[in-house]
Amino acid sequence: MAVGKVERSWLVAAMAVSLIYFSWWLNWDNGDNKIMYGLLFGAEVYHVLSSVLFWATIWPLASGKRKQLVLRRAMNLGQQPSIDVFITVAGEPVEVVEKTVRAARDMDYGNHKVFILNDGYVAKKDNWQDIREMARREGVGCITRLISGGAKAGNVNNGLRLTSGEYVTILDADMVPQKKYLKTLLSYFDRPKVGFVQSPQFYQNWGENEVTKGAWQQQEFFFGPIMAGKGELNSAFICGTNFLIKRQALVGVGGLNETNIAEDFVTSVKVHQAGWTSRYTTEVLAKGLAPEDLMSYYKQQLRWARGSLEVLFSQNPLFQIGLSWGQKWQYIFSALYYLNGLIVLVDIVVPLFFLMTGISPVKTSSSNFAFYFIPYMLLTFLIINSISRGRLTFRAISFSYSSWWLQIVALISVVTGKKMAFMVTPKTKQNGNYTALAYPHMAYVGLSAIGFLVAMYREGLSAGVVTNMAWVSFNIIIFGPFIKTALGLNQRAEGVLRGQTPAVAEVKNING
Amino acid sequence: MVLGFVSGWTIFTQSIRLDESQSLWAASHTFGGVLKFIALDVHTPLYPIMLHLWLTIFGYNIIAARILSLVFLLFSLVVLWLILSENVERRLMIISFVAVTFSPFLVWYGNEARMYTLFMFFTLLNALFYLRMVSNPTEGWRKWGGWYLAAGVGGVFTHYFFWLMLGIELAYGLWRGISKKVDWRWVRNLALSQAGMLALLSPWIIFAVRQGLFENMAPSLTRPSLYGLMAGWVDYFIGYQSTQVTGTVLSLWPVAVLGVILFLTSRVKTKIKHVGFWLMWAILPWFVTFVVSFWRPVFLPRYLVFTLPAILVITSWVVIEVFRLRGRVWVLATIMIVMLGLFWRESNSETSPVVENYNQVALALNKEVRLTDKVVVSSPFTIIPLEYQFYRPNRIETIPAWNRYFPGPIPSFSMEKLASQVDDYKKTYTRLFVLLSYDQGYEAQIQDYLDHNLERLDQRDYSENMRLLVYRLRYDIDVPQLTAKKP
Repeated sequence: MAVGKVERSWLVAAMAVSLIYFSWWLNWDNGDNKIMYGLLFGAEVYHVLSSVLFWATIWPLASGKRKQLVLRRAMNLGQQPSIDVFITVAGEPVEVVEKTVRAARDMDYGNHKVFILNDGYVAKKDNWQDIREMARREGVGCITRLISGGAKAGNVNNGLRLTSGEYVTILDADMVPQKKYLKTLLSYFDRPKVGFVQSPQFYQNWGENEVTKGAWQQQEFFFGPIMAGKGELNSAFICGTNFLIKRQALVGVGGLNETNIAEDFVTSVKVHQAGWTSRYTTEVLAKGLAPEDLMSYYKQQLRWARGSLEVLFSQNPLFQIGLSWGQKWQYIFSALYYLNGLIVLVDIVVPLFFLMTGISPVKTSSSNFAFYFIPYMLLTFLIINSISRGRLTFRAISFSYSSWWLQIVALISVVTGKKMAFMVTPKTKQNGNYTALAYPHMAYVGLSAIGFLVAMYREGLSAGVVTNMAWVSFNIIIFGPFIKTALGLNQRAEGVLRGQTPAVAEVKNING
Repeated sequence: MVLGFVSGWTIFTQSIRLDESQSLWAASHTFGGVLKFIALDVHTPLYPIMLHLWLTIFGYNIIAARILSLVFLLFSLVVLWLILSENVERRLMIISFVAVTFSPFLVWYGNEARMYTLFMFFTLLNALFYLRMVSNPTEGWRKWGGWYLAAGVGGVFTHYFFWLMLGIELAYGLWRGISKKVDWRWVRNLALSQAGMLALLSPWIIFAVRQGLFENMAPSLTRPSLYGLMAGWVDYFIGYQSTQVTGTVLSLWPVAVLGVILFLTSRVKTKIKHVGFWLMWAILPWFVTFVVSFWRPVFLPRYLVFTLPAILVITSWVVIEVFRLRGRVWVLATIMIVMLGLFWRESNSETSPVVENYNQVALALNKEVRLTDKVVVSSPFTIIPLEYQFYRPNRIETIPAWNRYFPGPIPSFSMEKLASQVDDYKKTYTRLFVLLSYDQGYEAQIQDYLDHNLERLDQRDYSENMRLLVYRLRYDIDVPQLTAKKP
């Protein structure tokens, strides 16, 4: 995983520029319509807080600190503690699981047992017996649950009860580990208090289409500088797969948390609360599959958003005893990301509202604001570009920014307490027409066009109209790659025929 | 050829402007006189001396003076081509070269009798040798050091703002030294060269300070606003346009920011050598000048013309990456047409802030003014461009009254002096022609006083901020009817 270089002086400068930018918002005299100004102010508090937390996350990666990442791997590998390898399965195609099983079985380690945790039966999948048969054929264990409960976490906890290895590693059905997987992860347990080590989720099909590219490019940034920084700050968290954990640490917190669909995130908090530390390696040790279609991507993102927001609202890390302040803020930083939907909504509605009504949130000149905003924005992106070695692409930004709708759906479901089923991300491409996923974005484009006409009729091509149209265009351009993907324009270009399955019904199902 | 055609048309058809008339006025002195005159102004002596020699050979007229600027523009473009060919990839080289060549801002100064293309020439020449030395730190000083010094000396004698360029070179050199890409001897040589340039300029500075540098004829600048700073930047892309056009383009800044984000998040393929230097060259002078202006106002976008190549190269870089452009004919033709369209608008629009129709005013006055009429101008230094084309025997005076042949600053304005001046005119003249074309803060007071104390016969607006007023001074003699067509 790419982690680049950033000088600490840059981060200090970025911090200063962020504060200068925020000082503009603190000047309440800049506000015109106070309600809209207040909304934007709230959004900017979020933006600046996120930026500052990001600087803090990558701070240990700056300057000469990086060497420690390598030096730390000093565990004596002469002794080989027993390791249970859990491969969680819930209806994934046999051929996908088979590859993972074989690779797990053949890992370069002398004391490990592989178990398929087969939830196909409780998930009412047709192939659950095929999986069992395949396990027998490949010579690995297969634990099939007959009583459902707790989704993936329940499945893992069931496996924990029936096994006894000193360490446990979990692999999703599609995550094919490399031979060095176990040895490498184990080498990070250099101190008795290390509870778990997380490694990146690499998508081997990342170049397949626009969705896999978008999903991967987001992951690349997360599993690059962000998780590397968190690892350095003893605030890494379990990401569901590709991690090695001490059984003692996991069992000590009651296994994987079954009350939240972001079971890994909550469990990480509990492990840290119990006094264990965490590590992260940027080395890719297993390769899996990215969601290949927009609906699968949507489901995956929705699940993550729902789980993280639930943590934020019901198990807020800030109020958890046993975490250091650094860990609290790092966990908050991770969960806050999914509030982005609400913030993007404010950011996209305000200029549109101006075009429609002429009511402006600010009364100072646009160039005055630009003077504060541009250095903040550019320095932020320069640092992101530098620390990620230019890995964060516009496509990734587009997919992230365009997820505002699903993040709001998740937020509403959390606030209203509506339960959401654990949805396994499909490991094969689902055919369908996903235009419906971009309806909100396309509606925005249409409303913007109307807004422009209304504004032109009202006041002509004034500076306010031009600036707000520029902001609207800013949003539309960012939505561009997402809308294009939803409409299947990229697929058409690639010569891929679109399926006929209507997705609208599927979206409704997801939304409950 | 296109540039030559456009420039030729502009050089021959445009009216002389205030700044140009001052260049001619300065160059019209004797050699020593030129030095004295420039010492009183805010500039350095190389350009007026070159202009003096040039006009001595080719004749004392505005067209010859403008051609000198065009010559330096063409020299600058040759040097720019060399810099680009040595430091950037081909497709960027072609596109950015076309963008700079047809930049309405630069073409404007390529057709104006001012020092800016000479300034550009020395900046580029200096940058060419500097970049060669940076690229080849072991052999560079031996091969190019002398040329670098010579170009630098030319630069410091052309404009004080050239020191900003030298500062950037030193800062980038220090950075290279700190990051161990050049050894400290290289940096020391650079610092010594610049110290040498300062040493060579110092006699001039001592001379200018003794003459009263900055005290007499320096333009009265105000502290720049954030809007002014950004509008100045916009000028570099679209040339001098009306406030509305500039404001509209400026309001599109969020889209420009998005363009930069797109660029930063794209896997950039085109390479530029020493990109840090180009970025510093494009941005730092603006920042420094803006900040310094809060202590002493020195911010004028044209003083920063030397940053234009870097700005347009960086912008071209962003644009070709975002839009995946190549140097195809249609791309180059589009850039050229857009740029020239903007230049045409800059040179001809009634709302253009840089069009100064002194020639039309002079033509009208030549037709209207009788011996019994009085012609006055404000601000005082606008007498120079008007006189250039005013052929009547009447002596033009200024408000406040100023004798430019007498050393010392322009007198300050007061209402008492104005009233006294007008009372004197009433004794001798029948009509008063007043040209208001450069507001030094008292234009409104002048018109207000005249409107309240005299009968206004006519008012004509010739271009942005250029107004001719005609008043009746006496009633015991009939006044002739005005005949010249209104603009």
